[in-house]
Amino acid sequence: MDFLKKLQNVDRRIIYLLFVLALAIPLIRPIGIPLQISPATRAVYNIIESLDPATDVVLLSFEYAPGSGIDIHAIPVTVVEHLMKRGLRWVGVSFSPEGPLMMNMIIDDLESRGYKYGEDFVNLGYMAGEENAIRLFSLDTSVFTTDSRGNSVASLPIMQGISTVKDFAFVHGFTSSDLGIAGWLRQAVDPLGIDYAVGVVTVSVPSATPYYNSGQLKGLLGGLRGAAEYELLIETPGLGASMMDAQSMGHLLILGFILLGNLSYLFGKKK
Amino acid sequence: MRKEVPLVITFVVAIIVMLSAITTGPIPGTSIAISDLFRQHISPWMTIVSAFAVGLASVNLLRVHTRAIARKRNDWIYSVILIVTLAIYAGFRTYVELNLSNATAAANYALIFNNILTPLSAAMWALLAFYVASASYRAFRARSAEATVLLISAIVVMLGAAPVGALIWSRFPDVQRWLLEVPNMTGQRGILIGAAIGGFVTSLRVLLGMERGHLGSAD
Amino acid sequence: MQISTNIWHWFMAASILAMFSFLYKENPFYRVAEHVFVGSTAGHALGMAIGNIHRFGWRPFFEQSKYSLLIPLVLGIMLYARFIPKINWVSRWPIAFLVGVGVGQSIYTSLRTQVINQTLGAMIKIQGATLMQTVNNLIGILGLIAVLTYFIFSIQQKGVVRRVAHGGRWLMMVTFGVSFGNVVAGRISVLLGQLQNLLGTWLGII
Repeated sequence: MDFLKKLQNVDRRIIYLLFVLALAIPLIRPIGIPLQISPATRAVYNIIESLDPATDVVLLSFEYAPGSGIDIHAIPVTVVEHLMKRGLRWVGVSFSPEGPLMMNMIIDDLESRGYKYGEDFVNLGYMAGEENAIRLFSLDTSVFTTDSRGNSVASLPIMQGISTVKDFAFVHGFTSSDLGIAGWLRQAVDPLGIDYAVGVVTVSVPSATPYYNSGQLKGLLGGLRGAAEYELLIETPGLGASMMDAQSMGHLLILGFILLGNLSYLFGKKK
Repeated sequence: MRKEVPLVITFVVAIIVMLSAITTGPIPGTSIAISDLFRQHISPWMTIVSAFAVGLASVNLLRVHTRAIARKRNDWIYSVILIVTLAIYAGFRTYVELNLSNATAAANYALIFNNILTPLSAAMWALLAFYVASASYRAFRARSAEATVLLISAIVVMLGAAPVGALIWSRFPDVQRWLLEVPNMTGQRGILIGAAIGGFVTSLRVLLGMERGHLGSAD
Repeated sequence: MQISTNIWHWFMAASILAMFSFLYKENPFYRVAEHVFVGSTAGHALGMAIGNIHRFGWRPFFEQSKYSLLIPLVLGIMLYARFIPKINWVSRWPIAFLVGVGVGQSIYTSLRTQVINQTLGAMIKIQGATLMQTVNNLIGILGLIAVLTYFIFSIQQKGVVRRVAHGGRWLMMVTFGVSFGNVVAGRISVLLGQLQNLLGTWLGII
């Protein structure tokens, strides 16, 4: 019992160190635990698979800040990879100030691989006003007269034939807040009847589930795990898949902590 | 004048915006459609006023820290660091925004955004992972029946959400998905509907001028 | 192991390590990182805001002669009157405008998206193809009624109402448990990204 008491008072820095080790070791030496794919992830994949590269253009909306890190950024990376694999063109827009820069990280990689800005994809940039901006852009995409590089939007080949958000074959949002979930649904998806799926941070998955259940969201990618599942679907393992073993170890360690903490609590109470 | 005009502005603007979503065609006796009034005026205006509002927080931060430096408060040197950083990022970003076709400036800004702002921001949030680890050891106790239910569903979700769960018991992912898609979804739906009704009532009170908190109290 | 020679990767690593140094104890490196973080985020937002004012206000006003844009430009400047005590009431006008648009935009749409469409989503045939599905449908409908009952504050919660509300409370405990599990997973993911930056991009171990 003394041992349990000692355990209760263990220095928090020892817990931190154990935690870092539990995550770092499988990062360096992955084990390769198999992963099951959820229906909500497969739904996004199926929609993109059903699009026609000759005629369809996809809209991607980036509503996340760098603070959410790879838990959200890994999702657009893999969705864009799928779009490029299928030869689908996409237009990027953002209603959060950091969004265009996060999008550019993906664009830089695509350009280094030979994809053409303005033909294969475009970054329209940021518009302030959150839900108002979503509605304004949805009703009239020409509110962006220039893109994030100062090009005239009307002259870009990819923007030909697009005047409202309904002209996009599919809209996919990436968000670390409610703006990309309820905001998009309220201002564009429900009033205009567009097909919309969203990638959210893991924390937002529970609150986004009712919208997927009701059919308002056509697909839902949840955090790093969602990205990992998608990477497997498109057969291009990336950051998500490589981190799933470490994710497992992290969960196991936390569970171990909860168990130990509760054991020492229970025995302490009995005493 | 100081109280009434803002109330009238809120009421008129809110009515126009609301009606623009549910009406079509021109207002009887005029050639103006409310939806056009919204699309061509109110909404673009909102974009601009919102942009001014985004800058408000930054300017407030500048004021607070300038004051800290002027009064040589404790640790004022950190206020200097904050102001210098703010000035560099704001100045550089403004230059990029006003010269969008300057690819070199944009690329250089991306360097300080991707390699300083981004890791600082993500590392700040990553600190929470350590606190969760520490709290899971010290605070998450099954002190009551309700707390036990919470803890058990959290444990199942953690096991089901990580690939290792399926190795321990092949049905963990199914149970996790069931918890997420049935009880959680139902609970979240209830909270969502409740919150929306609450939001609707608050909006109505603001619209009718019964709720004036946003206008402040001082004259 | 191949340590990066890119100076920017070193900046990145220094940023992460300075933040993480707080885990040991509060120290000047962390304080610097904290203030650089706040300053850079606010500076970036300010730059983007000025860009938007220029892009959607200033340029259309001068280049396309959209003179009506003078109204939001003036309203926007009026917002800053809040910093001048003598005329801070002036900032109420633009705030009233912002609130007006916000209210007008949410009052109808949130009812439609969150109340009507979510209620429609709950209106399902109870009998499912399998017994499990029927049970799920029952939880979906009865559970929703129970949770909503919990939020009714306009009648006294006693008798049947109290028992139903209590059921809603239990269901919400499961909901919060699921949310907590996701919080753990999400925070670990963010941390993993930073470890990847340190061990992979910077140190070249991965």
